Amino acid sequence: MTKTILVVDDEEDIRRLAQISLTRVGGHEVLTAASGAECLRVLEERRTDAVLLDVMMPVLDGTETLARIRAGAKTHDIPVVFMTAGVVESDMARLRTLAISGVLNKPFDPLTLPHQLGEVLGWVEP
Amino acid sequence: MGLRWFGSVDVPSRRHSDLPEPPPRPWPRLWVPGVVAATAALFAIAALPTGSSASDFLVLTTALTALVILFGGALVARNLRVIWWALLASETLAMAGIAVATILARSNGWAGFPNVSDLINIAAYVPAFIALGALIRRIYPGRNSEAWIDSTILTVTAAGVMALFLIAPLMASEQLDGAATAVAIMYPILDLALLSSLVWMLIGSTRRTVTLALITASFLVSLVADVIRDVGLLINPEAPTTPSLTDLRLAGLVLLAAAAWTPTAESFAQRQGDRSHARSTPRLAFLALGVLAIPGIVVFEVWQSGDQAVLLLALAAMIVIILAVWRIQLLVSAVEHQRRLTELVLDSAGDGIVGLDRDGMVLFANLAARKMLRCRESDLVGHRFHDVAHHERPDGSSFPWTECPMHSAVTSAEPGFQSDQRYIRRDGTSFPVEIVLSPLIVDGVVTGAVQSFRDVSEREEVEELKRQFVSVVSHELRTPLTSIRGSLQMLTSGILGPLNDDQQELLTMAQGNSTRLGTLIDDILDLERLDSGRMPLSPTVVNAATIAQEAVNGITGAAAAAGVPLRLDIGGQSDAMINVDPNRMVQVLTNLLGNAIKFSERGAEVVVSVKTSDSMTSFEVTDHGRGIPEDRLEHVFDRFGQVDEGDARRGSGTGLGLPIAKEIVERSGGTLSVESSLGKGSTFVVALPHVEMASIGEGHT
Repeated sequence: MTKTILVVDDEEDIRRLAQISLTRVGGHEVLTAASGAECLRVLEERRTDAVLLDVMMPVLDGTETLARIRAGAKTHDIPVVFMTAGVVESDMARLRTLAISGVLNKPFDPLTLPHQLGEVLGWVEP
Repeated sequence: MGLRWFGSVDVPSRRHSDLPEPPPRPWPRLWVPGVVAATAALFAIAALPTGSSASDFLVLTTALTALVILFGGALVARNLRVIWWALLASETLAMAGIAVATILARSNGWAGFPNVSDLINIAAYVPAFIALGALIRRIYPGRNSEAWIDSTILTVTAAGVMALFLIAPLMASEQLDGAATAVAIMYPILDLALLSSLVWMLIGSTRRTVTLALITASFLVSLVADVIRDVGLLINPEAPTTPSLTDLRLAGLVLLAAAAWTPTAESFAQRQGDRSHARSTPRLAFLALGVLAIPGIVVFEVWQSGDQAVLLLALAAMIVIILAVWRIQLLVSAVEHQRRLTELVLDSAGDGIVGLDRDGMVLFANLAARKMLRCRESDLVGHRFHDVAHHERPDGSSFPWTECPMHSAVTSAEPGFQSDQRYIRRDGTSFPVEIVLSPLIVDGVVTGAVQSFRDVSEREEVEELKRQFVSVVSHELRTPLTSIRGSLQMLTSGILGPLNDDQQELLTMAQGNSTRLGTLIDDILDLERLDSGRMPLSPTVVNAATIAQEAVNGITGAAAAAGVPLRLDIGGQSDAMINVDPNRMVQVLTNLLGNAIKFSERGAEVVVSVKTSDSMTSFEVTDHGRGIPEDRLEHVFDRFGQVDEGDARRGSGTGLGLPIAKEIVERSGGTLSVESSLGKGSTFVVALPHVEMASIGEGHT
């Protein structure tokens, strides 16, 4: 069940690691974007099955990027999963109110990342 | 400024620059033309014919001018000195009254002695005495009685000398009636009394004393005028007051007005340092002269009469007096030396030291205290310290005196240590302090307290910097480590392609160590959060067995890998409830289990058991490893404490796991302890308060 996933993270290493993990372990097709703005540009051109979005990014952060995805005519229904480091309970409560499919913790385990993502998005049985 | 008990020291002048600037003075330098005009008027009066109405008019004008200038002084003076200048002004008002009375008396064709103007004149001495009293209280707080005793001695002595040539003849004079004699004697005596207290202030003062000197000169002029008048009365009782004497009194008024406008007047308030800088010796020497004057007169008189025995007695008395004064002087300098030493010690101390009486009023405040609070001594001494610098809590709410630790120190002799208080500076800003309160107990009775305090803002800044450093460094370390660990995981998994044995081994080693680094960073962050109180525990009532089971589940893999059998022994305690943060308690048990597995040989069983006693529910983690030597037992909970050098290499421990566990357990209201016997193994015990089912029920209702 190959899917197309857009990985958005301002850190190149993390982006690459997620990309390799999702392609080699999960067998998905992966696009990457280094910023919220690039993410929106990619989504304008390509329809993806999901967006794996880093919360902490300069300029356009995850929450703001999400809002624009939801506001876009072509992109409003794309499932979004947040990636975040050092979540505290209060942040988590705030994230739960957003229109996202789920939250994954950073640092992630590249061997299990595709499975976790699949679970969150309902692609695989938990 | 300084210590009421021990004398005083000036607050460095730069401190005053921290205080709000006083408003600019109106009428700048008006006293110069004022004095010139008044002096010119004096010369004009002196040139006028005796007893003319023009002279009286000028007297009145000049008195009114001086009055206006003095009231001006009172208007621009600040603090207590307002009273002082106002009183001097009221004395001048009396002078003006005298002038009016004289004019009225003369127009009615009566100008004898004494008349109405003399009554007004004598009444004017009352405010003058009050004013001088205020001045002494202001410049020499705590030395009132000293000033008055010394002044009285000087007055009596001078009066004694004066008795010889003035008072005795006045009393003997048959041409003067009782009232005239009494008034004539009263004038110079009152002048002397004022003069002597001024001389007392003047002598021994090492600071600029222009103001004092001018006031003293003014009363000296009054004295001279009164003595001349009395001598005139002796020569011719019928003679009216000559204008030249009035002129002299006016010259005194002009001097007063000049004193009111000297720039030094302004600095009186800041010149409390006078007390410590003033030396007692000159005053004492002056006093000795005064004390010797009367026996001196006696010696002189006896010399004249020629009684040898009485002469010897009088001389002996003088020698005894000289020696006694010398002895007192020695005593005084010893006391002064001691006082200065104490003062020096207190003022050299880096901590603020403040003495409080039983009501919390400040008795003294050392230099450091005044600097930190940006206060003058007068802002503190005599005021309740709590009301000056401690009346608000850090959150801005008011802080009642009865709840202040200082209150308990001075009322119930409770010593105190506070590290979370803030003091408020005079300018309204505040700073964190660490306070040590020690009650002062004299013969078993609390007489007050001494508090020493220290500004800890720097220390707090350093702590904050340390916290930031730790969290930034940890974050910066964690980020690259994430990619390293991820990459190694991908490589060792073989998903990206097969590896040969050496590659596999090296990558596994690298992965193990990156995991260890990650744990270390997590532990450091945990500790930092525990230290700074930013790791909030969310306690809930949970089943102890469930917690133990969860920890065991989490570590089963590691135990299996190490070949260590793991057993959970709930032993009928499946209902035991505890009130803890479940995640954190699992972390604690995981940690203890990890240690137990690490130090167990293959096949040696590790047991987790849940036990209950009357009040406690405890988890026990027992291993059958080599045990911990007795001398190391107390160090196992130290940060980075390993049982021996070899441990660091043997396990992947960070040396932080046990301190973190202990901290979490203690913050959950429990204790973490260890028992061990060498060669047999160790048992770590987490003891937590038991939660009764009944109280859970209450909690839910």
